[in-house]
Amino acid sequence: MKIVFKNYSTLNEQESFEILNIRNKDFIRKNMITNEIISLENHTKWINSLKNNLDKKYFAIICENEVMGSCSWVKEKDEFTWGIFFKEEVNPIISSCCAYLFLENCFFYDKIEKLGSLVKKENTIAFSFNKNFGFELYKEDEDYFYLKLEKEDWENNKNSRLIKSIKKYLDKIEYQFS
Amino acid sequence: MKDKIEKIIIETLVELNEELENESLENPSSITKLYGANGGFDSLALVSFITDLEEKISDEFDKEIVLADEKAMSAKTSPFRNVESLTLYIKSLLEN
Repeated sequence: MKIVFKNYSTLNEQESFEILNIRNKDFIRKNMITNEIISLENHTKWINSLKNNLDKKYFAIICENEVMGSCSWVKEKDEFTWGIFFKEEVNPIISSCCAYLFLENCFFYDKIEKLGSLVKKENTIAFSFNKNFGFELYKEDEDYFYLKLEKEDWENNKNSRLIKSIKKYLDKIEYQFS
Repeated sequence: MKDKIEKIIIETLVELNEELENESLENPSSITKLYGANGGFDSLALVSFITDLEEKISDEFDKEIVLADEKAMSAKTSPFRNVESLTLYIKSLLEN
């Protein structure tokens, strides 16, 4: 199986449209900070704004030539926050493996030392997904949970029972960041 | 066979939930929701659960089964919706 993490700046028109289509689904929007439907025009403008922006990195996740989701990090005031979403029907093995590969890329290619995560309180599945990858809750307010994962903790957590369970599948995946 | 499979599923759930500490998976029964709409598992927890379960089923019934089949993992028709649907799915795999 081949998975390509393709930088938004290099997406073709169709791929860009497919990302927008997933992003505008109700089940994704309700868990986003900005939850209005995004127009194609605004989406295209925003993607163009990412070119040469060193503080934001967005990838489309393309599995066997099908756009399955997106992952990203954003740097704001020296703090990095990650985000990830998938089509509703994505195979959970694929989504778990993609999250693992993206976190590896964040810590070992992009050299991020600490990654934050912002999760809406009602999004219990995303909260446990983050926790199971080793993110720790450090703050909460009325609407959000704030979690963080440091590179050293990621290294240690990679041997957890939960993360080890995806290793056998990772071995069968060919992937690239482009 | 059905009862035995369900017992293994529930034992596996209880063991895994010692780590997850997920309230919706406490005291599991045949109607406990697993994955998808209102399910207690996120995708990583489901993969871990599948790995443990495949091993236990193989030990108990002396037959290798693959639960992580491409079709089975599709969210809408997934046998991982709840304990009962998973029990029936495993039973059908063992009988084939």
